Amino acid sequence: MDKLRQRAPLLIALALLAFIPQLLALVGLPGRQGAFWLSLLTQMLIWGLFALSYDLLFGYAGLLSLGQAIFFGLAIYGVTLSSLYWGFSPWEALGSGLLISLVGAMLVGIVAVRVPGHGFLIVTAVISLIVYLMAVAASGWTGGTNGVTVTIPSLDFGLLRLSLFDPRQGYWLALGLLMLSYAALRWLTRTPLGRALELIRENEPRAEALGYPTLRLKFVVFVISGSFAGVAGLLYALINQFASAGLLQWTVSANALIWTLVGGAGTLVGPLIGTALLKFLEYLFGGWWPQGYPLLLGLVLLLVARAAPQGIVGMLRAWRAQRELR
Amino acid sequence: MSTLLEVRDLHKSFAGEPTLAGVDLALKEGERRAIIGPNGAGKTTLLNLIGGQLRPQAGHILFAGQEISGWPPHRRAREGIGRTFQISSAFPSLSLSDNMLAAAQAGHSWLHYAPEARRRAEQLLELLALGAKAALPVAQLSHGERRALEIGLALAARPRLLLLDEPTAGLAAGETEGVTKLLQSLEGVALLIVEHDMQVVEKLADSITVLHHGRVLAQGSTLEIQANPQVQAIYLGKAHAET
Repeated sequence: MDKLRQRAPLLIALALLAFIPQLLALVGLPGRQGAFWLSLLTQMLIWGLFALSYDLLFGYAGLLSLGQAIFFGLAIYGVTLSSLYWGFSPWEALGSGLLISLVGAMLVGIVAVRVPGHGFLIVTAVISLIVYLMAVAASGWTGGTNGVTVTIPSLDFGLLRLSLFDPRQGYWLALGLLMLSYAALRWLTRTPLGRALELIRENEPRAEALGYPTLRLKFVVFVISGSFAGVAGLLYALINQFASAGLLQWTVSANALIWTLVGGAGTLVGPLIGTALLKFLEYLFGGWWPQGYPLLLGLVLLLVARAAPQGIVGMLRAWRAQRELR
Repeated sequence: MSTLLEVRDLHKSFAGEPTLAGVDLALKEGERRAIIGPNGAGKTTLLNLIGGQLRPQAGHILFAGQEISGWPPHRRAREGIGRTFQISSAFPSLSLSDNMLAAAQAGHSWLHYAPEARRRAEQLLELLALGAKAALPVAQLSHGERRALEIGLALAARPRLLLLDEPTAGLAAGETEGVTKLLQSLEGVALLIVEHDMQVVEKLADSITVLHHGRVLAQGSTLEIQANPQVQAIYLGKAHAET
């Protein structure tokens, strides 16, 4: 019963999210307007999944990486290029996308996790830059910064065929994949393995002296989190049917860092909230004052650093803890 | 009793400056040895070499008959070497019970907490008399409580050898007594203690090794060491003169 009560807010939020397409239709936004809002929400879900993968690495294991976009971008290219040039079926394309991001995460991880302290950030940023420049250099193939488009009309689940051109079905796909990933990561963070990641964040030499193979653990979390970034990339490729070298840039990873910090690192829910909030603000500003968004972002970050270093979720938890004390 | 730890001709230098210049040391199962010596004698370096936090330039470290000087710290810990750090905040944002559980869980499954680890964690919290504070984050504990926790973490995996780096540093008299009693009560674990407080050394150690300029100056029972004129001259004499 208690467990149910604890989970009630999450279940209600999930139910609401699942019926948003119907709700939008009800309030009289069926046509183009409704589709627009739905697609904005879908983008939030895709980027939220990317931020979620980042939180495992940064929020739990304390690894400040600027290379997370590599595995996001590799998965996107894996899907688009394999179906574009080799005629892979949607499932084959998804498989190759996931595989290439997994292998990429292993290769980058082997090098990066050995570098201690701030060196890790620099190494991941530099590798990210190199991969980006390689994608730009191969413009004829990758489309460079202009990107390439691909057409994957539908995804066949056997009993069910999802039309990727239908915004509602794309939305449900994104929501489903995000929720599955969230459940998997929530489970993982509650295992002794998840706790071991927190030990590394809190005090790596102490964890090692207790018998935790910290180097191996850092590699494992780098690969797991890189693979979830890859899953976000698969989703991006299916929904947007587009790939671009810009998606490999370190600035894309920096966005995930900002969303995670604003929402609350090490909470999993926080990065989702941070992503939704900042994506919404980005949209609001984009329309009438595009230069305003970076300014606002700076202000928000300053506010978080000064007033809520644990992010939005951390602040809410502190409030609740205080209320319970009274 | 068989030899548990054997250190042979251990050398370590930092930037060309020798910190340890050929140290030999042997410890039997269950033996309690204090390492004393003036600042810069190489005491903490010796612990770091045995614990694996540092690698020696030359020499051997044998634990239960195995050469371990090339092993990473986590492997030494699994093999039965526990250690405490001079300055440690443990895992500050995790609760006391989560700290202890994580320490007890090391070496068990990655996916499920072992019932045995849970029991061990509870047992240790009781032993440290910290059960009432189990839910608090470690950052909110007092200095004395954190020192006790530091020892508890090192004990969680039931080590055969416990390396203690100034376990009573910075503690009030009553807290020092508590930590001393805790260490006295331990059974079946050999202790290697770096300690400045001679009263604590007298209570805890069967024997003393004196380090000076990276070498073993003297080794013997507490009484022998206190009677050694060389030791008095360079260390005890100075310490007495200060007080």
